[in-house]
Amino acid sequence: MRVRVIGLVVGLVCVCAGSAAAQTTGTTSVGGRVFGWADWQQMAAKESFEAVAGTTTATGAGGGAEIQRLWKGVFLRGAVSRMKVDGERVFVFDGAVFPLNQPLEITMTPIEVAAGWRFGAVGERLVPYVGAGALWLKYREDGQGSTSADRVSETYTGAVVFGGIDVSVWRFVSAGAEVAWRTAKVKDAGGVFEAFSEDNLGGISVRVMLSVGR
Amino acid sequence: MTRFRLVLLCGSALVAGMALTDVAAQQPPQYQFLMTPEQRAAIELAAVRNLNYIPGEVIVKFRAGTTVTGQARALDALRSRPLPDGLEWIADRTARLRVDSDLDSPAIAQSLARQPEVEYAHPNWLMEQHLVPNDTSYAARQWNFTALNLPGAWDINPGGRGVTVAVIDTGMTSVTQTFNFKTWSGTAIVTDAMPFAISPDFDAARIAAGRDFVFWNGPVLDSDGHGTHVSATVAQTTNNNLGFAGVAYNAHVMPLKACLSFWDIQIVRSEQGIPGYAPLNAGGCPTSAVTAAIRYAADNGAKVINLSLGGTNPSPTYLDALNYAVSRGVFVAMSAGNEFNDGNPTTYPASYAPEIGGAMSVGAVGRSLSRAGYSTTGSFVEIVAPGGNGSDGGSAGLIWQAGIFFADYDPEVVIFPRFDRYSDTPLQGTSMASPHVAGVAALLMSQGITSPAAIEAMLTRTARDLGAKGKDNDFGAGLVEPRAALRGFGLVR
Repeated sequence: MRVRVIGLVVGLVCVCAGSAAAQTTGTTSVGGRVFGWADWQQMAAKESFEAVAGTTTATGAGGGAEIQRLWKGVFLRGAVSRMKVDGERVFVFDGAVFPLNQPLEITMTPIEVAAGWRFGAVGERLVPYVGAGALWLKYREDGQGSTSADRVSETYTGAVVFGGIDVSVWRFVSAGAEVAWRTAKVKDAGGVFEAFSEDNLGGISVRVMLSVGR
Repeated sequence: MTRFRLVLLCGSALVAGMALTDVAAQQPPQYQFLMTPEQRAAIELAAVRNLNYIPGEVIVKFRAGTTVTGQARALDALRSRPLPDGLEWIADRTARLRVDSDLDSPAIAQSLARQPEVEYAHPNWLMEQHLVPNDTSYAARQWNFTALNLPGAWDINPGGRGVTVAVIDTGMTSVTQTFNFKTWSGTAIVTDAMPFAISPDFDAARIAAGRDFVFWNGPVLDSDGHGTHVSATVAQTTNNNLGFAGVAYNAHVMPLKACLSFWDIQIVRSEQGIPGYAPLNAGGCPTSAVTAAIRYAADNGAKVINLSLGGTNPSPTYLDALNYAVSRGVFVAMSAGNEFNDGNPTTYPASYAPEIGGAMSVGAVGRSLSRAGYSTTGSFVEIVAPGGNGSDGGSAGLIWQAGIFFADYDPEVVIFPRFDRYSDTPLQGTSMASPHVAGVAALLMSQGITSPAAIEAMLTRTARDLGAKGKDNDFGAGLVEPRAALRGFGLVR
């Protein structure tokens, strides 16, 4: 999976580079861009995250690439990001949370492959877009004192839906903001998820993006 | 099992490394014995007649709102017509009644229970320690701790610091001192200097102030060995290059003596001027004393109680006391019983455990983690722990701890006992399994799970399933898993 994603990203970067070069010669066909983002996610499993981490949100960073104008406004996106949440292991009983002073490091690496539609420019510089796609969420639980039997390393699948707006800031550089909804359900969830009858590692993200390409 | 007997004489083996303890200067007893001559005689009578209750004693609980007049009316139903002044109150609306002129406790209880002012009444049952006697050869290995991966648990919580575990049993000697007690020499009542000593493998600073509910109002003394062995499994000093380890080796133990040994009875008998020996099987754990000890523990800072005792007669008094303790934030571990081969009867108070979130009944497994042959089964068995099984690994399959050197006080051969020397002592029984769970509960309390019901839920959820899939009558939820319980849970597992 990792090799495939890296290949996709590299390919998109090449397309973007070609597109940027083409732009200098006035080409308006298939293009691309690479982007990076910082995101803030409101977790769907609020009670569970509150129990182990004392917060229902997570911040992260990511990036990816898009192939644009495949057909009119259609684009394809590949993106990967990472969120890390530190907390402690707990026991939940009758809604009461008992922290156990056992460090818990949660690392989530969502990989998104999506398609979208880029609308026509609003005014001179604003370009809205929407998209949806598939999500592979690599999930890892670790922490000081963990043995191999304690560690969790799983990949869960799900979906992503997003929409945003790009603002052209200088030549091929754009800034943007995006809202995304992700879902990645844990099958047969145990642990704190089970205690709170939650099973979703997704949530709603707000992303601030910077991209290069067209 | 159809009768209660105090099993005083545990099969203990003498092995190398016996510790000798200096004896302090002899002092005359300054304390009062708690048994009246009538009570002592009644307990002896119970032994002679193999009764599982104290003759002439009942425990009665009056209904809420019953006035003294109402109590008097209810008591008037008895032939002896005792007055309410004679009631010894042991809990809210609950009293012990002694009727010396009528020793038929079940009949007294039956008469009282019929009265409208009475919620319940039952004989003052004599519980027994859940110990299976055995004789073994030398083998000082704590396979039981390895089986539970306790070192892994101690990496997370080193010994349950800050938690007090009340061990309600025959006591654990809390002073190193010699007492002049009267006893029978074979021809006359004589005064004998009986030395007692704190176990050299138990840090005296971790013995919380205890209390004796049955023998005297002096310091807690163990003249049986059962309470000492159980206490050692809970919290014996560890990493001290001596003897054995304990599960919660930084916790405090509150020794609450609610069980009488042969020597307790013999001493009181001689002090009361009665010549001769008490019956060898004299003793037991009066329900009134055990329930008083449960309440005392809950009111005096204990967060965990171990009850390695029981019997086959139901007693709502236990249910009341256990509910009281749990309501005060105390987790209770109880031995499930050793009567599988004696008809496998339901055991009390262990069988009350499923009704109480925060109290667990504990069965026993042997070295191979199969059910120990003696371990009582039933739907009330909630979890299992190592209790030892001589049929499963021989003497190496028993539970070894530092215990009082049995040959020093073996009632069958010793006339002038001493209780100040310790040796490696192997025992088996659900009595030995329960303190493992009590110790783990102390670790969990220390780790931050302060709700007894939560501790029960945690132990149940993290137990290693044994036997039939899921909860079953042999193993309950399975084998207690200290490390898994202490680790708790992450998000998804």
